[in-house]
Amino acid sequence: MGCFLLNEFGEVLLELKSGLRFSPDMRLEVNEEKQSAELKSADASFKIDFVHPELMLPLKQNRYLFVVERNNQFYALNTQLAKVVFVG
Amino acid sequence: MKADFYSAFLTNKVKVFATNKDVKPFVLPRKIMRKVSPFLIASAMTFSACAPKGNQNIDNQPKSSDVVNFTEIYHEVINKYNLTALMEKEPFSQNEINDMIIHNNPPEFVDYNFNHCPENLDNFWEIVKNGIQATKDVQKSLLLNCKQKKEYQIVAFKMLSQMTRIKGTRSVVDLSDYNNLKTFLYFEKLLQYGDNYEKVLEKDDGLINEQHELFGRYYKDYESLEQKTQKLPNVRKFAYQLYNNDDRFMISYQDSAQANKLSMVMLQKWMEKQNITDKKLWYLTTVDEDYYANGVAYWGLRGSSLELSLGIDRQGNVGEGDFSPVGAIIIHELQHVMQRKPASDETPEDNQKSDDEVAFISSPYEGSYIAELGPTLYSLVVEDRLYKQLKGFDEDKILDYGNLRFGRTNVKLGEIAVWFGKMMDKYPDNSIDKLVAKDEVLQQLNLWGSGKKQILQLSKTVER
Repeated sequence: MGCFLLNEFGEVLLELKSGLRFSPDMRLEVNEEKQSAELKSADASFKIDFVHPELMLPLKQNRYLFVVERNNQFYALNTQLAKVVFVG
Repeated sequence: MKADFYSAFLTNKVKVFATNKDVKPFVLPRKIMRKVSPFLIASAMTFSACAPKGNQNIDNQPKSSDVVNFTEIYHEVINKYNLTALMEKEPFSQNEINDMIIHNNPPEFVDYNFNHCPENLDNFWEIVKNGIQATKDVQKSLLLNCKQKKEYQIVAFKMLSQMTRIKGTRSVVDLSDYNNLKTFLYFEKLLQYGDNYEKVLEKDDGLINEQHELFGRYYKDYESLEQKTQKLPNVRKFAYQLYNNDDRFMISYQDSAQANKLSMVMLQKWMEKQNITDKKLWYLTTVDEDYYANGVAYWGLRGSSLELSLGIDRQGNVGEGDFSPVGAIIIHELQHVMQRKPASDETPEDNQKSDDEVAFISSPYEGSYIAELGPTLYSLVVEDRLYKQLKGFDEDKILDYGNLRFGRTNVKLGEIAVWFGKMMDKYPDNSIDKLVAKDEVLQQLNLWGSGKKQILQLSKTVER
């Protein structure tokens, strides 16, 4: 479960409740054709069922996005800059 | 892309896309943003997580079912991480916070005491609501630039967002909740210093104030441990002996360069686990020049800002010829920062006392070796493991660093290090005092402190 936020500068942030072990080499592998993605960490991965087509261009332009995992409404348990990789 | 994800979303247009195909995207309404900006857009986190169901796209007018339900996520996360303290509480909704800001009717401001201790609910709201007013007032100040004025607004919004109230009530807050305490502290400081940006918001290396998430994070765990050990004098005896035994500094100066390097890697991992990203929580100094080096200096007397200063000897010199790796010292001291209640030691009754009387209140924390117990055990494990890395010993080997003596019984420091390391692995809790308060841990410490013989299933001791 999660959501993407897109601002008018084309910056994208991904908020999710993943339980994924964040690590510095984290990356978001986007399958444009299937409109899905997989957030991969060193030894774990998390499937994102749907990436809206409108997000594809900003993701391609920025190549990075912030991923935020919350432990409650107020605090981010983890935040990490993740590389965006287009696959498939 | 900007590195700070808060600032990355400081624009007046943000569109939200669900990761579920059935939920349509929605734009957070410009109309609201213009009214309350930058409050509303202070943080992408608060911003999205608090998005109420009524927040609808004014252009497309989607149905309320189109909106991502963050309240649901909130409760799921609470359940997942078993955040029991939050289960009986709830945040104020975005609408309520906006309402608090826009239609703020502060009660008469009568509490001019600057003593960091909410007396009761009325006092809490008096400070918070007058603090909101003060945030509005500083917007007219000629001493502040636009960026600083915005920062005042952003911090105020973040402080209001982190408050929680008791479920089912309108404004009953738990005055012992550390988030609520810190909100109170912030607005109290704002009321005291107003547009003096340096006093209210400026950040110096090594100064930790109420805006830091780690300050007081586990203070209730520490209070609980302190209470539990009141009935366990042998644990208190053990804590005293351990802290005052310098044999626990087993790494020598000859190995200091490599040990410091390795300890910084350990520190990095520890900070990641604790979700601490601020690298300016300490300043580097030397024990010879700085009285406060390698310790947390706590400034909590009436009339002064409540904050901590944390200076660390850059070489790992802990005085009297002993060495401790810099990373281990930093972890130890930050664990103390997490133990401290984010409020002064004054009680509401102290408001009636003179400044002189209050100045001599002794803190229950001072002189209590229970506060040192968890951090010192942790340091012992860290340094034992570093020593073994440097010298090529297995982690499970019990090395002979010296003993703690209880009556006629000696307990090896190496044995304590290996045993507590196993406890750390068994109970991987972020709060060191919560770990020490486990029955299994307290029973063992109590047994050692009693001076009775006991057998632990650990490996044989080897000479180092």
